Amino acid sequence: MSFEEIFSPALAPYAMLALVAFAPSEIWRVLAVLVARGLSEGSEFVTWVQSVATALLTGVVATTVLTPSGALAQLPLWIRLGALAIGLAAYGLSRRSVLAAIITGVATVSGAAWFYGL
Amino acid sequence: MGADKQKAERRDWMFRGVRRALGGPMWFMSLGFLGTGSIAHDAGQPLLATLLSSPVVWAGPAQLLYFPALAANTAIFAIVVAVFISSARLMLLSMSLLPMLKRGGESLPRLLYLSHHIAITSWTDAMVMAPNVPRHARQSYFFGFSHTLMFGSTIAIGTGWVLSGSLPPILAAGLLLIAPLYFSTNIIASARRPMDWMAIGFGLLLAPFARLVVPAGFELLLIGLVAGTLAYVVQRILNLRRAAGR
Repeated sequence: MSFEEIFSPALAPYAMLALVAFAPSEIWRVLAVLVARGLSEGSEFVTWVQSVATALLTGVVATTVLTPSGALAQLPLWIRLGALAIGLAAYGLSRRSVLAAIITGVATVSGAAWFYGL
Repeated sequence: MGADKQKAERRDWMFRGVRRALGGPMWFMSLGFLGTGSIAHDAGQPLLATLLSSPVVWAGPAQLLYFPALAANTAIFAIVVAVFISSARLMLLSMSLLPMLKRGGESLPRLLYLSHHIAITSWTDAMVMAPNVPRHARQSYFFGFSHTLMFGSTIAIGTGWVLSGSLPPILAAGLLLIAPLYFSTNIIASARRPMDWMAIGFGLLLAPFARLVVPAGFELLLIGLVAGTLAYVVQRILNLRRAAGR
């Protein structure tokens, strides 16, 4: 059964937002408040969770570049990877300026989009 | 110190938080949300639900995977799992920051409200800034900062939704790269231990193959668990060896 069938089609987006996006995310914050005293930051379990979280966030970045949606999908893979690499190189060379990373990365993608006649 | 003076001091710190967000973080974050907003439009989501997603969900990576997943018709259960796993770090961020923001004696709703505002950008800033702020004014500073981020990103995600389709593709393609770029700089900035760098490296190596092994939507879970656990185990072995060498 889909959300459109359970709720009305007009309400489905809000029910989905609450149950699919908000609830599975917010539960961690509620847990944090409830058990904040139980776990220590340096414990092995917390260290492992941090490692999994870092790898997962890396995965979020990788999949948005490997299998993008929208206009980005119309550019070849090597351009998308190249633009991310150029942006991160600028970040390193500029002593970690986020602005430098974003300007160079976006300029590379937009330049390539212009070249490919998007 | 008089109550009036403390009140004035808190007000002052709140505006410092606002100014600090306006000085950079709000803009990077908001530009990234423009792209997310246009994807929400492509996924057939109404404008109000798109606007609400920012203050309600308040977790960039969760929003960044929620809307494209809807657009790609991913199974609902897979999206729930992906959002759940991607937000696991919120618990760690909250647990490490809450003790710095607490004054003691806060009600449960107040603590939940505080915790709701803790996400990557506000956490990174508060961990650096909080020790320089008098304890009674820390929440004022934090809310000044995080409410400004929330305001900017809500305007931005709505703007992205409205502009979707009418944005020149050249610009749209560029804007879609802002979110992955912004998140990678955040990941790099928060990486300190060798384990963090290994988790990033293993994650990148695994990402192209994850899709081939598991159904769409579950690849993030696979990348996180396999690459993250591997990085943790290698770090653990290195630690044990170092301890044995002594």
